[in-house]
Amino acid sequence: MEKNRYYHLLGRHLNTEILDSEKEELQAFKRSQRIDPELENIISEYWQQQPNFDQDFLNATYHIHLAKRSQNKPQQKIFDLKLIKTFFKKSIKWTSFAAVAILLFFLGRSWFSKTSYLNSKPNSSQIKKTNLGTKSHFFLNDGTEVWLNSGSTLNYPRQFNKNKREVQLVGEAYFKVSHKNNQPFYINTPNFKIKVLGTEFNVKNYEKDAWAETTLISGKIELNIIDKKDIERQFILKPKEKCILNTQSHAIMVNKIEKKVLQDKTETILENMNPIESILNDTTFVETAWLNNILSFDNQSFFDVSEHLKRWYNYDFIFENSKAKDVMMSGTFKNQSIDQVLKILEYSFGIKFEVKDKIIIVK
Amino acid sequence: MDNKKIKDLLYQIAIYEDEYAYKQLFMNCFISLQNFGFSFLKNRSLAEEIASDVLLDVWKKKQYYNDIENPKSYFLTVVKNACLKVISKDKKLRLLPLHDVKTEFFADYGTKPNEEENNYFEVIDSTVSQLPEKCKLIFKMAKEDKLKYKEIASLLNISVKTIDAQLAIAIKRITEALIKVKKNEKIQ
Repeated sequence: MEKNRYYHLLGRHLNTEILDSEKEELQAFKRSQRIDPELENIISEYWQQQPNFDQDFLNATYHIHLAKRSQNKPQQKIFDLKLIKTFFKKSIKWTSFAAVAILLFFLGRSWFSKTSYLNSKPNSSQIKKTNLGTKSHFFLNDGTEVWLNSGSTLNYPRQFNKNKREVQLVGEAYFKVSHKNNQPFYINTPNFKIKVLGTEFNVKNYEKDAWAETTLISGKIELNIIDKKDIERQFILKPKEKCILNTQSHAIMVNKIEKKVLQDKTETILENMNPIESILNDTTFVETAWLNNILSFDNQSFFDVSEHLKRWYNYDFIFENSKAKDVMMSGTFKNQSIDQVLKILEYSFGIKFEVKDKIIIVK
Repeated sequence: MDNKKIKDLLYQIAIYEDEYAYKQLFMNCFISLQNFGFSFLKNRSLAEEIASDVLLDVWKKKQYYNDIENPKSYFLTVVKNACLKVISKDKKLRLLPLHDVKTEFFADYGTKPNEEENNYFEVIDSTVSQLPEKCKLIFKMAKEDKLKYKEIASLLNISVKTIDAQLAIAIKRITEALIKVKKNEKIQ
């Protein structure tokens, strides 16, 4: 009898239902030596163990359960009642027929709108165009930040496709593409097709320029270049690399870019007449200098420079002296008027200009 | 089944529609619920269906379940009521009263022996599996579902005294089995 009392107490103890007075009693049993305390420890330990569920069985059952959940089966309750069951048997057929008809109607509508509406929809894509002499900074609706240099055109959809984001660029732009998994960003230019995987980079591909450039600042991009023979070549750019493509010969170079102190070489010459705001402290890449309103050349021909100036200031150049086209020059301008720039060029390279309306004649 | 854990999961489900929490809930409750259902129905697939329906309802009425004070007990009560409904509806099932059925697999269904090699635990496991059906059910509800005597009593429609007695029987048998094993060890 005493032992039975002990089992009751132990049961209550394990189940945390034991009363304080009973606790004393249980302790007394332990001390009495009639009970092996080790056994109690084993049982307590066993009691604390969590049941070891068969996970494979549970996973399989959960699968079936989820399928059931997604069905959201409300009909079963309708069929529970025999009266309703027989009464509605025919009408259910009718409702399903109606459902099919409605579905067809909607399908037809959407098909109709796809074929005829879509092409004439004016807002399906947007064009951002910067005039010569102006620049633009804006965001696309996916959060991508774009700086569009002057004389450039960016064509982009108002709402991006779910699978990929695609834009068309002619000219120069700097992109800060917001990273999105499974939704790569593509930039199509006349010479490059760029696949982006969340990154910052500069693309330059003006129609008239002899060189098209893509410069990667950070991240990773994939360049696809289609040459004259329609052969596609693929490059993967690493950060701080620049791919230059000759649009005529389709020669391709990949260079490492370096941060440079953009030093205005004409500064010393022009010290007295035009105190240039010092930009010597800023180190930056020549390729992205335009973002900071800096016009920078690094050993480029005056013809190339004139194309830049044309876009930058919206002036046309006429070369009366074709030798001047080949003068190589390096230099940096920041926030300066076209008059100042021309004066600097005149002093440092001996090129003479005449300005008429919006036309610059090189003599 | 730990009530606090279940409450946390139900909160996650109600607030965030958290699929992961829902899976956790299923993994923690399903076997207990369907074993409990089986104790009434003696029909494995019916018991599974009822357990599944109970958990399905959680997803349908997330907010409602978030407010329940004692979800563990609530789930089991819903299972019990569903089972009784089935029994009263379908007399063809010819259900047998609890103590008449000796199904070896019932209590161990969906559970595996613990991998931890403990000779004593194995002895206890086998002793429990040989307990009378009702005693085994009460033992499992107390140990695995961590239900209070009162909760078990109302779920099984028996008195707290009976539960007390049944658990004492289970512990007595376990202790006796362990003593036997210990004696054998000493002899060896």
